[in-house]
Amino acid sequence: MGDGAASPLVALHGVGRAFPSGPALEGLSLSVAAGEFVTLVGPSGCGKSTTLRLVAGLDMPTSGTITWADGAPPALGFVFQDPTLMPWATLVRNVALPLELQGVPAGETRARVDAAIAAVGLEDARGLYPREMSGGMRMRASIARALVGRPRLVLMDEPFAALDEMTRFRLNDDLLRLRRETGATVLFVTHSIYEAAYLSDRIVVLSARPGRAIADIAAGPPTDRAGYRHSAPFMAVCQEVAAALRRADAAEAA
Amino acid sequence: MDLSRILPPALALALALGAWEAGVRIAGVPAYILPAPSLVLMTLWQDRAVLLPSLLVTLRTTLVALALAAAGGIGLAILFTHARWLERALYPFAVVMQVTPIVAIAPLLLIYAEQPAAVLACAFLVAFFPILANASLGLASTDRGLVDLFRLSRASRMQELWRLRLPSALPQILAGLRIGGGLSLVGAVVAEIAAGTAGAGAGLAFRIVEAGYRLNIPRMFAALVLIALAGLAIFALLAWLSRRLLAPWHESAVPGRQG
Ligand SMILES: Nc1ncnc2c1ncn2[C@@H]1O[C@H](COP(=O)(O)OP(=O)(O)O)[C@@H](O)[C@H]1O
Ligand SMILES: [Mg+2]
Repeated sequence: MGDGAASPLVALHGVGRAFPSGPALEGLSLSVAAGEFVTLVGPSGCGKSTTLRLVAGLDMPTSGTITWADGAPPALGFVFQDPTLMPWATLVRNVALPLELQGVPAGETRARVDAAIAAVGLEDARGLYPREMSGGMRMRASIARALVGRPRLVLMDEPFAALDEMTRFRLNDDLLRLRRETGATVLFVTHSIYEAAYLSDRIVVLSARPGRAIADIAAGPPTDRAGYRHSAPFMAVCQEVAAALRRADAAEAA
Repeated sequence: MDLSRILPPALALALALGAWEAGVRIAGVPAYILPAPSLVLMTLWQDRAVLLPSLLVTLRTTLVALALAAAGGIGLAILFTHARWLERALYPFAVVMQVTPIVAIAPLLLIYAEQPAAVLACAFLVAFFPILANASLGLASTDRGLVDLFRLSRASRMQELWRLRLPSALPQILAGLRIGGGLSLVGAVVAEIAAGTAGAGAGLAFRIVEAGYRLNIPRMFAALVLIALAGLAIFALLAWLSRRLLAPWHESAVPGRQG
């Protein structure tokens, strides 16, 4: 498997995670270079969410190791498939949560929350409760909360899966802009081949459960993405990912 | 106030009372069988020196019992979320307490304790379980994603309790309190009736029993009206509290919806 750079920000070495129902991951090796946008795709139930949880330290591997460039995990941001906002708190209070929990001083918290809310374009929704926001706004709020702690690595688990296509396209572009502005490294999960091809520098295809990396496809889109969705290189990447996914499914059927 | 919501029940009540009044007068039903509403109202005023202190006794018992049950039920539910073994050990006792009718327990309590304490204990017992059960359910159904998020931010257990588990359980906790509030009045009334002795601390239910012995039917009705009003007041207070606390964010309290 091709490594992104000489010294990856995070590397998984033969990582496995077994549940009582059986292994979800087995021998997964994967590395993400600093600043890289890597996307995991694979059949449903192949361990993509499990992988993100292991990287985030929310779960422990039962075999293999995870190593970090600095020896310890850097500041992390996590965006779940559901917006996972506190329904009893306004947008501002939701975005401020990670800083408040970490005891960041109030003045600094306010400034950073304002910046994060502005970055996702929700300035007019500051006092709204989640039930008063649209699905797209909630997801933006969730992204603002993930970015407010200035993470070096952002983990995103199918964040746009529940949104309509127009909203999803808009958020895809916003995500690329935020990534450019913050220079954050992103490990992304999606079940959309097109989304993977549009966003990623590199796409890692996992086999059916238990998940292993079976393909590592460089996407590396041009910096100017106008019209990229309709270009030949984009289509080529999509086809390559689709072929790898068919192999994953075939392996499962066998 | 929305007139279209108040008017129908108000009209229905006025109509029912009017029919009752008219029926009693036209048929000439004697007051010791069925007193007219006007007579009940008059009795309420004339007997206020007896009835009001009793109302205060019953209300005090109910509210103190509710407060104790709330503190105990919510406190134990919090302990349960931190120590599952404790829940497994104690829950059966709570269930047994709950399924045994309070009318059957009251005479026993009256043997062991002074009347005011026994009445308080009965009111507490019936209110305790629904508060505990609802709070446990609410605390246990915290969004897994939010729990993960708190852990990612390295939140302490205290932060997790105060900033996540308790707020997210608030709708269920308040539902438990609304049920417990009604039940604690029932418990107090049942225990007062079982005790059946007069004294300085005689509650409204005792006044009903006493008036029954004396065939003072209008006073029975007057005491009954006060108990119903007390129940309504407790219900309204807790409903108001729920709306206050949940209004901006919870579906049950969103203005313009039923709930
Ligand atoms: N906490 C858990 N306990 C037991 N089994 C789990 C748990 N989490 C995930 N699994 C199982 O591991 C497999 C991979 O799950 P997941 O990582 O969520 O897949 P994906 O995100 O790729 O759809 C699934 O079969 C799932 O049922
Ligand atoms: Mg998943």
